[in-house]
Amino acid sequence: MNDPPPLIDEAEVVVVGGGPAGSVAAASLAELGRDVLIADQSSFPRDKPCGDGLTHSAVQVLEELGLESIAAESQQVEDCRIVIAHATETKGWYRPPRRLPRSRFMRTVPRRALDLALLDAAIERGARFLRARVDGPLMDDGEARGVLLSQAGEHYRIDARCVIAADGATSRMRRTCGIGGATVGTQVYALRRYFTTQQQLDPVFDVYVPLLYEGGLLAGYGWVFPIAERRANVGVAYYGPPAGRPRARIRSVLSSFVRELQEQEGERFGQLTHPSDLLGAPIAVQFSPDRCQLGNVLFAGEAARAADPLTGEGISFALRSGRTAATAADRLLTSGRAPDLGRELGRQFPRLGQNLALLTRVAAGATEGFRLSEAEHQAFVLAIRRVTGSAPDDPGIEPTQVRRLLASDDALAGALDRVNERLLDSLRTGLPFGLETLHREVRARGGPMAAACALLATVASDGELGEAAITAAQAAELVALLDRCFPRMSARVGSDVAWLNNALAALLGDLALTAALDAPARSKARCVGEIGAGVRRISEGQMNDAEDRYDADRSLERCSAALDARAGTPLCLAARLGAIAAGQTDVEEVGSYGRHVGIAYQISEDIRELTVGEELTRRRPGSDLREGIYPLPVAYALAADPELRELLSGPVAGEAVEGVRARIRDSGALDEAAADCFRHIEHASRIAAHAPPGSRELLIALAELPIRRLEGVVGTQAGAVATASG
Amino acid sequence: MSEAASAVEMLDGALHLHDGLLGAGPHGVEQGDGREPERDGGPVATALAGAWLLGRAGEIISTCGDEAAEIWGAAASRLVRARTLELEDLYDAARPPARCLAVAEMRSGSLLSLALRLGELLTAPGQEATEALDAFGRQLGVATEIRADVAALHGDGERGPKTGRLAGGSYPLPLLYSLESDPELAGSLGKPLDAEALSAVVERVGATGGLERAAEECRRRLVAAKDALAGTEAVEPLLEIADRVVADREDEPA
Repeated sequence: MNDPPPLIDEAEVVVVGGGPAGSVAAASLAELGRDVLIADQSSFPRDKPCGDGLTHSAVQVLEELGLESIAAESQQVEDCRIVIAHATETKGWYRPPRRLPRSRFMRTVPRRALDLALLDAAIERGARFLRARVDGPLMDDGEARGVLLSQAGEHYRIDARCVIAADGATSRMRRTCGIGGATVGTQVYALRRYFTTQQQLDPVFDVYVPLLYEGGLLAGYGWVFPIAERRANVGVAYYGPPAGRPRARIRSVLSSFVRELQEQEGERFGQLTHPSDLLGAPIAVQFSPDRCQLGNVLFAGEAARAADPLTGEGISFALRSGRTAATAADRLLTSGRAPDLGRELGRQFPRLGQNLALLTRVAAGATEGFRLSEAEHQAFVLAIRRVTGSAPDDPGIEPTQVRRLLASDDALAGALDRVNERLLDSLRTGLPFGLETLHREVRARGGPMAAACALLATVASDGELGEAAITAAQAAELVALLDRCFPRMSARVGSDVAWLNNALAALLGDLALTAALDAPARSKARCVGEIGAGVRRISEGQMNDAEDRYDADRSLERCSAALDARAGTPLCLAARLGAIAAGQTDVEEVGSYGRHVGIAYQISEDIRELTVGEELTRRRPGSDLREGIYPLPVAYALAADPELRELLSGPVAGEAVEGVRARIRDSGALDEAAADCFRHIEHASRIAAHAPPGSRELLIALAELPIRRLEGVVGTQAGAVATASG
Repeated sequence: MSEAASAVEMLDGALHLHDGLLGAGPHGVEQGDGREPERDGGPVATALAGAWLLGRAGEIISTCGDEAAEIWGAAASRLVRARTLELEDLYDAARPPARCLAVAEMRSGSLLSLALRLGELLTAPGQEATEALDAFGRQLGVATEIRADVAALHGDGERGPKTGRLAGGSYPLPLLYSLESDPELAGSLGKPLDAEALSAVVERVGATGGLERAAEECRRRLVAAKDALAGTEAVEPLLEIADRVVADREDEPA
């Protein structure tokens, strides 16, 4: 190391940047008793272009940090309104869910106020602040010994054992550490200004998507946040066009958006006057788990490129990543080993790192302009629902039925959580919505059933919940995902949306399957053989279903065979892999247990598909009927009702679907299917009864999960059996 | 041995089927020489047939022992990861050539390396040629892909260039090299191109040296592949395969 500049200060941790990520990191470290120094070239308060909106997730972090007073004094947002395609298609209102306490509703806080309050909170907790420009890390033999800084034209150094870089989207620390890399993937630009109006503004967060500009549509959105009763933050954000195409002038885009608001929403917002200065910036959305750390230099917030690639939202990611970086720094100081911060952030935020530029490029290709596709509309609406609280972006599995079932056994619950973390690692790609989609499937339908089945089979086979059991459960859950990917495909091709949907479904299915085949395993050849055979059977079952589309004469036998192959195989395989991980050679009986549970579970899902609404299934009611897929309950109804056979010999659409659903419900078919479901549960329970105490009860409880899912759904016989079993 | 060879071919076949679904983007299928999934019974049937092949291949490789199953599973994972990167980069005129080469190595390189390593493992256990064969396979795989890209854009004289992938937004190495020397070419990309625009792009790639640079990279990879085998016994057949796979043609840049 060359002669370093003079020492100006020292600390255990230097935090570069006093924005939300840096202040939260410093506050968290100070609370842990660490000597922490924040260095920032700005004097506070200072302004920033984006981030006046605090999502419910951001409010929750503030509450967890004991900083709820910051949110409490801000403007509460009661609702969110999304205007799609400039009111020509849909106006959606997304009220926060009833279970969300009002204290966690979205808020708006000007960045001047938010950043100052967070910095004050860090200082109150014991962090120190130094106004200086940090030029980069002070490196010695691959490790940071502190930072180099400039103050009043002089150069100094601060010694520290760990550095947290939280210096924003244009991070100098990132560049000087050499992990910036070429900027590839999504480019997001944002610009805003404040306006005053005579009109009292509703406490509503308005979003307009996409942006209308010079007669075309830009892939982006405009917003109006009320920051006071008569003052609003009005802005635009959009995805950058592919290389070589001229960027729309963002100032003109904002002016165009404000004009449109005045012309079309005058009654709502009044005359927008007294504009503040313009503030704009790129938003760093190119997150990569491999680029969040350089030894003992840890990156957080936009310096880690942790902003939502779809909405551009960054405050909640900044707060959470700041806290995570602080925990990592504390562990590093305690143990001397640098934890894998990128992997931890990647597990927390499945959305990060996705390359949404692909969507914009495909959309551009489809319309000969830089426009937003229908798929992006839908994705955006879902993202807004998440932001407003109705669909939390939490990759944890704690709320699922399966995880709750194992909660009584710490070892099993911990193992299931580790499997979930492995799944998040193994499914990460830059494909748009890939990890989110797959992991949503893991959490859906009760939770990671296959993984739980594998772990229970290991325990029931006298095995330990070690590495072999974890990887077996991981592989089992990955194979189960295959059954969820291909049915998402559209039978029709021709449009860009259908093509992209099918391409992603096929590729994500392959990704899950090959990750399963690549998972390290005890008895590798045997496990690969088991997985291969399982996948072949699942495919055959799905082919059977595909061949029989719209076949109202489909026999019960053929239907049952497809059910066995498609739904029985994944859990049969899971149980077998779990037993193999325990060193068992004879896995037939435990496999049979899994098969019965899988079939029972699928029948319960098929019954729910015909009885409950979208709010419970997250699917459009009657989706299977529309697509010509007739599962067991429908096959029973077809056998009993010749007129129904006529109705279902071709596509059913529109309001007719609800009529068909009602007719199936009235036919008694659901009770017959439910009786089949319970027979499979009984079979599974009889096998489980031979398991050692401890795992026996949990195996039976897992087998009975379908009963819980049918409670209150079916009436007569099924309800009676459910009650008796309960 | 024949089981392992079958498992490799079935893995390749399965992913080729799914490549048909990915096509070369939505417009490559319509305008180019991509496979049209509907002819094969629709996208769902194509996807399921691919999955069936993958499953069957797994069953077969499992008869070859733990180590064979392990390297087969790892290669399968790399092959799919390569396809995810390829899809991410569609219509991206800023795609770095290095990323294109990395994808080629993960895809064709991994496949050839897998075949060679399995062959070595199952016929001559204990030999220490693993690293050499792995490197040979990876380099030869990249060379093969580049050769195919050069040939597609150059055309065979009678039918003209094959532009299906290009039309669908998959930008091959010769084009990426041309973009480095002719940045304005990017203005013509990032969107579907009609036949006239495609011809213009292909002509510009030829005029700006993209084909020659790619052919040079191909030759470099071929030399690296052969060098990797130096000191390894009984490699004549492999060298011959390398020469045949990347055989020069008089009418193409070489």
